Amino acid sequence: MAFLFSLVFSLGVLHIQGAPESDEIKYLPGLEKQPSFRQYSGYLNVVEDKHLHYWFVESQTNPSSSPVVLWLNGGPGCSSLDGLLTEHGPFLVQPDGASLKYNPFAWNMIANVLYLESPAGVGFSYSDDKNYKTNDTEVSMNNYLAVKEFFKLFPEYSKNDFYITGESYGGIYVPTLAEHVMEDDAINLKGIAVGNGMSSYEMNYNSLVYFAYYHGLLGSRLWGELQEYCCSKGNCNFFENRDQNCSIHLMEVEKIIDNSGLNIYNLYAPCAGGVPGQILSDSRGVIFYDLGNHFRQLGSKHLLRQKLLAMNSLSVSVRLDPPCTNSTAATTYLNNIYVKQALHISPEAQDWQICSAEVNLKYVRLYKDVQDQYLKLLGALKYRILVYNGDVDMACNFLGDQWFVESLQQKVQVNRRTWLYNNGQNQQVGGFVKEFTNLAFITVKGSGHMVPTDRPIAAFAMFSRFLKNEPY
Amino acid sequence: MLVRCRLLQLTDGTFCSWTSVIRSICVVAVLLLQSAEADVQFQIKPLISEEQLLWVSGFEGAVNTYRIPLLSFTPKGSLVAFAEARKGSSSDGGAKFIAMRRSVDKGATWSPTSFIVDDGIVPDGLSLGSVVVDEETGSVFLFYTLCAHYYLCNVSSTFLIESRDDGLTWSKPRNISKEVGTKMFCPGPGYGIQKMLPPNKGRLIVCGHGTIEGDGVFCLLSDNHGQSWRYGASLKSIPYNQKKKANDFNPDECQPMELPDGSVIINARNQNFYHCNCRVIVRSDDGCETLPLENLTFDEELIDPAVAAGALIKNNVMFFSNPADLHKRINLTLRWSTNNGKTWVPEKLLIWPNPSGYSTMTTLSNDIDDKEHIFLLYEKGIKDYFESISFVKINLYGRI
Repeated sequence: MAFLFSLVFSLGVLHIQGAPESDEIKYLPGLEKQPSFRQYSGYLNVVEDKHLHYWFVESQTNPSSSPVVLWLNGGPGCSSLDGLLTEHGPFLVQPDGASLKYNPFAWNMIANVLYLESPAGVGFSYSDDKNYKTNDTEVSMNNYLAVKEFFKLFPEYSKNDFYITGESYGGIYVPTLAEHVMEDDAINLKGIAVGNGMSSYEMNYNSLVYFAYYHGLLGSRLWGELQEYCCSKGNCNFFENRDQNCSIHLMEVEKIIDNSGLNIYNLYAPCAGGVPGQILSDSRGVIFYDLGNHFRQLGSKHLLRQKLLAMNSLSVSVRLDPPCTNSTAATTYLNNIYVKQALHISPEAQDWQICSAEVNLKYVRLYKDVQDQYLKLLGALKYRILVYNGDVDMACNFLGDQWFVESLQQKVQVNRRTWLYNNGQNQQVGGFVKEFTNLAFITVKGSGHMVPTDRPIAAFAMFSRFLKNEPY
Repeated sequence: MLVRCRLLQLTDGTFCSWTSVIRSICVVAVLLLQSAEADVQFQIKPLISEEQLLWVSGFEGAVNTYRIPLLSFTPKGSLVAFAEARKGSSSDGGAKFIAMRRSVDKGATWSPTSFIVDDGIVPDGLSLGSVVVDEETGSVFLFYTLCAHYYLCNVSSTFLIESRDDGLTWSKPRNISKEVGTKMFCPGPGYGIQKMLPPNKGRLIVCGHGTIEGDGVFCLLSDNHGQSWRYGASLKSIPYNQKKKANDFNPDECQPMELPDGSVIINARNQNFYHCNCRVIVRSDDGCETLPLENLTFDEELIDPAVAAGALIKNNVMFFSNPADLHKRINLTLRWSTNNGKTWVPEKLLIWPNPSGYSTMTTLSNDIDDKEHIFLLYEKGIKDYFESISFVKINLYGRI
């Protein structure tokens, strides 16, 4: 009788709140104990034929008053479930690919977090026509429509504060999505946060060469030649430099950064699985390790991507793995039949991969930088922006984003300083912070590209202070 | 007469002792200056020539509340302003930064805020504080206290940081508990002084107060340019180390000033309103080695709701700022006295009629323009006095 009562009662609650009961995850394999918060997984349907998979974890404290935070991993073409299962989700996938372990520094401790697999073709997201060629503009619009759809499914959250966050190529996704959301009064946008984001190709690339030299990756002979051929009067242009000699030496730089076995996502971490080449083939086809964000101006790179694209259309299986990362555990877990059932994955969806080669290779990049989007957000005078960077990442290195933030020329509110956090035993320097009006730039000391993975305690402290608008 | 000591001494120290011819010229010049100074005392007509907010609670760095303003000149003629940046709430305990801004153009423009000390995530963080300049060495010292309220902590410590580059950069905090012990000592809030005149010329004096029970005015002294510190004078509360009742004697937050005769006057908060709702005044004739009871007075003209007030001597005029009200922190008012506080000129300058709290003053003395100005920093608000910290430039002679 008590059981029946509680069943009726909980159904009643669900009905009043409006969350889609069919999407609720009732039992998630791999957990020793099912969570005390509610979670949902299903599809947000946009422009008729696109079905974007979401996984929504409610806040572990006062979900009704906690903000809603959208999280977008980058690529382009990589899945946000990687963020959930290996970065800041409520539970992290274990090396066995079968079990999940609760994460005490999960971002849903204080926020309702929406993980969205975008665009269609990424992770479990798909479209009816299976055409996965897309571009920045289309993605930002479809992400916006997905957010609208989410609030339609979860109207009880439509009045909550809303934040858009993401990482890496999310540096493009997040501000371009915010540009749409800020026009929509029905959504209570409060701010954005971007971790190791792609904010400007030029600054990202120019800074990377300095980063490489001053982190001991380039020798003095090479640095001298770069100075001679790429620089004049102390100004260096490593990006789109037409000098042939400059290009030749930049290819050497590329070889060192991209192709010598260094872990581009964390200079001081080992390369998972040992040192690979850029392209490997196994029984399942060709695997490549380059998301195409660097050295884009080099002709050799372009040719390679054209070739891979051609192979893909010849239905040779082409897979894209971020270099030196091991995505086996997440891949094994998410492709488990019971997990897919628990997550209500459509039979139409492709197998889960961390990144979609097809989406990545066909993706049309329209933005060179996102300065206009940032200035538009800042110009509204009401959104708070956090740009944070693990300072040993080379994919989107801290210096490039620091230059980008400085280039916005906003009024300094608090000079650059260290910020502290408590690691459970004592206080430590988390990194550096510089605060402008409604804009903070933060480094996370010793962290690579995936900040919540590398520095979970510091990352949570930073995230919490950002959301609660507390001093860093 | 008091005017002359300092002026003669300065003149003498520079070039007047060279020859008797020059000396006689000097005497004439000094006499002229003296009469000019005597005149300006009676022309005092303070006018706010500029005002700007340096900190707004809830704004810079998402800090909940900015409180406890400190302001000082620097050896090179800059201004440095400090405040407690209370991270999470407006209460006195809790974690804080020390916020600083610096102006190199006499207060017209200010550097962005720097957080020069961060106490982290502690339950009873830092408390400001007193800033003191050693004009002989060019060092600026800033004093503050950790665990002033014994809230979830057992030991209170007094710290100082030092800048040797005019306030641009600051040393690592130095705990001076080894020198002065761990009896709770909360400096200021306000500025400390360097004795310019005998006795004890060159001595640095930083006065402050204790806990409410063990309260009183206590002064730290350094005779070696801040290398070491010891306790000098104290004026203890009554009863001491015992719970206070209304109207007990309880001198608290205080501001020292050197008079032109070399004595030091301390203008203190009268926490429990002993004798009056007005200021406690106490004088030391021995460089703050002692504060004898016979030198204690109550200045009933300076009505006060129990608050940290500003006091400064400039051009031989004593200035005093506080929320001039018997009970409430409102009506931030500037008063002045041409006889070192014996009486106060009836005219006043009302700086802010609304909620206003702690205030402090400083001045520069590098050029002629500096002779005309004093600078005041105070807690200012519409609803609550701790909404912002505002900087005011005051022309003493009604000019802009």
